[in-house]
Amino acid sequence: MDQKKKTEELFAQYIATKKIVIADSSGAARAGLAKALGGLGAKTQNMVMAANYDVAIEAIKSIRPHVVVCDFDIKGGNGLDLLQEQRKENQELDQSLFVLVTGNTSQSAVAQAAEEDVDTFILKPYTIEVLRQSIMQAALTKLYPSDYMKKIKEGKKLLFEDQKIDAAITIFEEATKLDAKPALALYYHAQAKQIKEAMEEAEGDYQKGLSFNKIHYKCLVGLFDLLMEQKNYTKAYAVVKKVAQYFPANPQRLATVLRLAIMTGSYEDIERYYQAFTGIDQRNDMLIRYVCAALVVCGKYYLKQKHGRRALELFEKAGIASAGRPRVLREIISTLLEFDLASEAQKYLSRFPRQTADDVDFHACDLMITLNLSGPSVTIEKGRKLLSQGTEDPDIYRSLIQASFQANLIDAAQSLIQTAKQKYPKQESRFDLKPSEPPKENA
Amino acid sequence: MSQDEKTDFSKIMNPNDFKSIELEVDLDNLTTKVAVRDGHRFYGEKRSPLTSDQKVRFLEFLSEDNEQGTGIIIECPPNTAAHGHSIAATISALNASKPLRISVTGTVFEQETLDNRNQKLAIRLTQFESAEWRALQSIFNERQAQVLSFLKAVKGFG
Repeated sequence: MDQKKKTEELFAQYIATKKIVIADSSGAARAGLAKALGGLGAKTQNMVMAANYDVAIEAIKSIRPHVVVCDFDIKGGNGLDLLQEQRKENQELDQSLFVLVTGNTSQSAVAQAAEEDVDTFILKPYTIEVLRQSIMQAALTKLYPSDYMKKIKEGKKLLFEDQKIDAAITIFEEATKLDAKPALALYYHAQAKQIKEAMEEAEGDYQKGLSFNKIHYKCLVGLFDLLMEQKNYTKAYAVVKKVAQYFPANPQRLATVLRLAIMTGSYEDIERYYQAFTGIDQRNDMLIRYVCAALVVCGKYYLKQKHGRRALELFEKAGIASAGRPRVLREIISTLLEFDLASEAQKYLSRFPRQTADDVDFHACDLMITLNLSGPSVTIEKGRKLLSQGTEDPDIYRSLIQASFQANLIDAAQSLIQTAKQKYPKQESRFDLKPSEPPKENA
Repeated sequence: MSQDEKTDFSKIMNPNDFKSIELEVDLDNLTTKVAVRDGHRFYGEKRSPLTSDQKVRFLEFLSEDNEQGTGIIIECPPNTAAHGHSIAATISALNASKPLRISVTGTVFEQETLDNRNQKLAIRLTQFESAEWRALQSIFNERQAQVLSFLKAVKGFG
C-alpha cells in the first residue's frame, strides 16, 4: 500500500467517529468544508455547522467536539477563542484537532494562531488537495507522534503529573538526542531545572533551544518569564522585543515591551515605537491606550529631566494618538499640572470630543485647570455645582479641598476631606492635604 | 545606534504584519447582464447596494485535474447566476507581495442557494491567461507554505 493511501486510511479511521464543529460566517465555505471532510471519511451526522461565534460556542459546549474547523474572523467573535472553549470542554487533547481555514493571511493572525498552538492554518482560497493534506498531516502528527515527541510526552508526565523531576530531566536529555533541533526538549529540560531552582542552567537551556530555532515560542516565553522572575529587566526587555517581533499584534505583549522600555530607562525607544505605531492602520483600542500611556510616562520623565520641549512633543503625540480618548487626555492634563504647566494643560481640554463634555473626566480636568488658572473662588463655585449635580470624582474633591484651603475655608476643606475619604477609601492618602500644600500631584 | 537596532524597532511594530491579502472579485453575468462590483448589484440602469454579508467571497481554487477542469468556487449575492450562465470575473489580489489583477471568463456548472439566500457558484474557467492564473495561485501557495513552515518552527517539531 502506498504511503498516501495509508495516510488517508489512518485519517479516515480517526475522523469517522469524531464529532466536528465547522464554524464559518460563509454558508458556502461551511458547505465546502463539510464536503471536503466527508470526502476524508467524516460522517455527516457527526458534523454541526455554525454561522457565527455564539452558535459555535453553543455547539462546542453541547457536543464537545474532537475536531473544530473554523475561520479566524467569524461573525461575532474571534475563531481562536473557540480553541479555548474546545480545550475546556474536551479533555482528550491528544485526540483533538483545531484547524483554522481563513482568508486572513496576515502575519499577526498567523502568529496569534501559532501562540495558541493551533494544529494547522489553511488559507482561503484553498485547493482541495492543500486542505486535505494539511488536515491529515496535522492530525497524524498528533495521533502518531515521533519517538522524539513520545519521549517528551513521557518526560512531561514525570515532571508535571508524577513530580519526579530528576527522572524527567533524564528523559528530556534522552529526547534531545532524538531530534536535530531539539528546542522543545530543551524547553522542558529548562522547566525542570527551574523547578529545581537551577536558574542559570535553565537560562542556558532556553538559549540553547533558541540557538536551534530562534522563533521557538515556548523557549522565548520561558526565557522571558525566567528573566522577569530574576528581575533582570534589561535582558528581559531584549527577549520580549524578539517575541514581539516574531509574534506581533499581541497588545498585552506590546504593553510589556513598552513597560520594560520605561523600566529600563529606554525612553528613546518609546518614541521609535510610536513612529512604528503611526504606520499601523488597524490599531486596536488596547494598543492605542498602551502607546499613549507610554508616551505620557516618557513625557513625564523628560519633564523631570527638565527637557520641557521634548516632553511637550511627546504629550502632543499622545494627544493625537489618543483620538480624543478622555482617560489619555486626563492623564496628560494631570501630568502637566503636576509640573505647573497649567496653560499647556488647558490646550488639551479643547481636545475632549463634544460628546464627552458632560463626562466626569472632562469636568475633573476642567476643575483642576480652573484651580491653577482662575484661583480658588471660581473653583469652589464650579466644584460645588458639580457635586450638587452628582458629578463626583476624587480629583474634583482634591481641587475643591485645595481651593477651600487657599480661600482659608478650613472647616469646609476638612469636611470635604472626610467626605472624600468615605467615598474613596482606597485613595484615602490622596486627600491628606494641608493648608500650606501647593496644588500638585493631581494624577 | 547600530543598523540592527534600527531594524529591530520597525519589526516590533511592523505595519505589514497586520495586512492581509485581500481578494476582490467583480462579476459580470454575460447571460443576464447582472453585474456585482464595488459593493453593489447592477442591472441595466438599476444600481442596488449589497450588505456586507453579500460580498463575493472567493473560497476555493479548482485545479486542472478536477473533473470540470480549472475553476473557482465562490459565494455571491442572491440571484447572481444560474447553472449554464456565462460569467466574466475580474479578480484583484490587493496587499499581496506582487499585487495582481486578472480577468477570466467561465461557465457556472454548479449552483446552490444557501440558507441566507446567497449563492454558492462553481465556475469552470473557459478563457484565462495561464501565466496569470498560476501567478494568482502562487500568491496563496507561497503564503501557505510560509505559514506552515512558521507554525512548524514555532512548535519546534513536526
